[in-house]
Amino acid sequence: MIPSVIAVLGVAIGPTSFFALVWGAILVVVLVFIFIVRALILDAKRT
Amino acid sequence: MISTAVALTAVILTILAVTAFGLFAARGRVRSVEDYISAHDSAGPGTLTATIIASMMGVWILFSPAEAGAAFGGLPAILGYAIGSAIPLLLFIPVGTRIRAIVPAGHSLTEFAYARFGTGMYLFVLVVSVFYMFIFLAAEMTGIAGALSLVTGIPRWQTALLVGGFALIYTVYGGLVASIVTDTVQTLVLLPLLAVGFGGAVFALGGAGEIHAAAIAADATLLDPTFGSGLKFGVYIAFAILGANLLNQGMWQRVYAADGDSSLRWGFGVAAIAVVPMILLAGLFGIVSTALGLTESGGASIAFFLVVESVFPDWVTLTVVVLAVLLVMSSADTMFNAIASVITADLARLLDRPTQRNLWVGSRVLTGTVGVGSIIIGSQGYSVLELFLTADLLAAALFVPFLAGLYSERLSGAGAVVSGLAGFAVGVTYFPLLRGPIGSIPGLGPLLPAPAFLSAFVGATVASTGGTILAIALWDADIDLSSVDRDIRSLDEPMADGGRNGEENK
Repeated sequence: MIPSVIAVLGVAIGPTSFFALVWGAILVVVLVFIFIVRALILDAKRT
Repeated sequence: MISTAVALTAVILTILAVTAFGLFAARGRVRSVEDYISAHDSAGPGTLTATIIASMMGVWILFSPAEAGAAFGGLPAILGYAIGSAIPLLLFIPVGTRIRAIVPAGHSLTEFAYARFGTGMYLFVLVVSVFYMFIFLAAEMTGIAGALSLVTGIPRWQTALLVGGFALIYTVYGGLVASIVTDTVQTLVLLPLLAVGFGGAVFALGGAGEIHAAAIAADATLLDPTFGSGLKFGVYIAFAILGANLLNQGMWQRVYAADGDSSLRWGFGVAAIAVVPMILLAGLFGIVSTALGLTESGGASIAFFLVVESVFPDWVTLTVVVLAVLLVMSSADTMFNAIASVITADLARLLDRPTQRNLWVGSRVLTGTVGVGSIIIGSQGYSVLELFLTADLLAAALFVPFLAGLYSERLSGAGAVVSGLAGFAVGVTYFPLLRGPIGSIPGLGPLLPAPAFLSAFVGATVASTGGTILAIALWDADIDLSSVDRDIRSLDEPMADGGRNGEENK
């Protein structure tokens, strides 16, 4: 069942998908960092 | 290899900076035992996200995901690891909200287990939870000592003593406050380091296209998301992580630390999103190591560091060293305080009207004892993988009946214990690591099914779930969930008088 779900999702690991996977992961890490900094600033302003 | 002196200097500077910050941040903020082991309603979404990420992401992410990628099935194994790590964090959103509603003044999961189920389940949860957390801690110390020994040549004992010792100093002084504050700073340093370090690593390896081509040439199944053995590994590791994290006191402390249900949702939700790419990126090093032929003669467990050592420029290696130290310190301080808090919260109940000073001294002595034990074990270089998996199996068998107690008024303590034991019994029959002693029992050996981790972990969870459903259906314990917290009291008495007030009361 899991393989078919993956197929439906269209995750084919060709070079382009692999590129997207690697740099997408790095991008998410950066976005989480921005979220935390923003939330900490808002917290500090609130208190 | 970067020189030992340069690496040691970077390690010491990192450790000193974190310790100084922890001591400074906690100064004047820990006024009671309550402050030391809990931080009720104090963390907003940013702080909570940061501390959850720092607590969960130990130095293990530089070992296990890469090993999974190299030896247990490539990309699907890594994805299973990543998604499996996110699931318990997502589950903590509804479960954490429920915990805070039922036991608003609580401190630990064992405290809840005792109040909700009684002595039997309490002892079961206590043993499994403390066992798991201590093994986690020992594995972290072993991991960082081994990693730095491999990459920089720093002797194991020096790393274990420095990292563990300094984390212990600020945790003994500042308790959970110091742990959460340093976690926040560690995450703020760790995430950019991770992004820059991994980005630099991809460039150093010739770009994503080069890595892809090398992996396909070496073994195309490494990047096949439907590869069977990788999928099996991914599923079983998800079950293993799920149970263990739901019985992790460090996470329970952070549930209570949230300053409201909204912060809890944001904190655990964003942390769940964050751990997926972190584990994925670390795991890709396992694929790279196989693609480059670095693990042909074994060594999958250190695949990440084999790549670092053989391919990267010194600045990336130094980044990894600092990253590893931050990862281990942020998890170690969480576990030091988590283990101490479980027992301190229980001491408050078990001792006859303990004074603040007794609890205060007890909690710090416990933290120190746990820390010293983990430093000693970490410096020895033991393999703790088998103990880790055994702890995971116990947790996989226990977490369903335990959590069911948050929702069902019908589930009795005996029903929960029997369900957990049933799950463990089923898990053990499949568990490869206990096949030797179990199989040697006369008459039992031939009856046992083929050993497999997937069957063991899934079987343990499914059997305990079935047992829990049966226990709820057949018996009605008639527990009033609204009064579970009647005996759970705050430990919050100011220490301005050094605890004399508590002694007078006694």
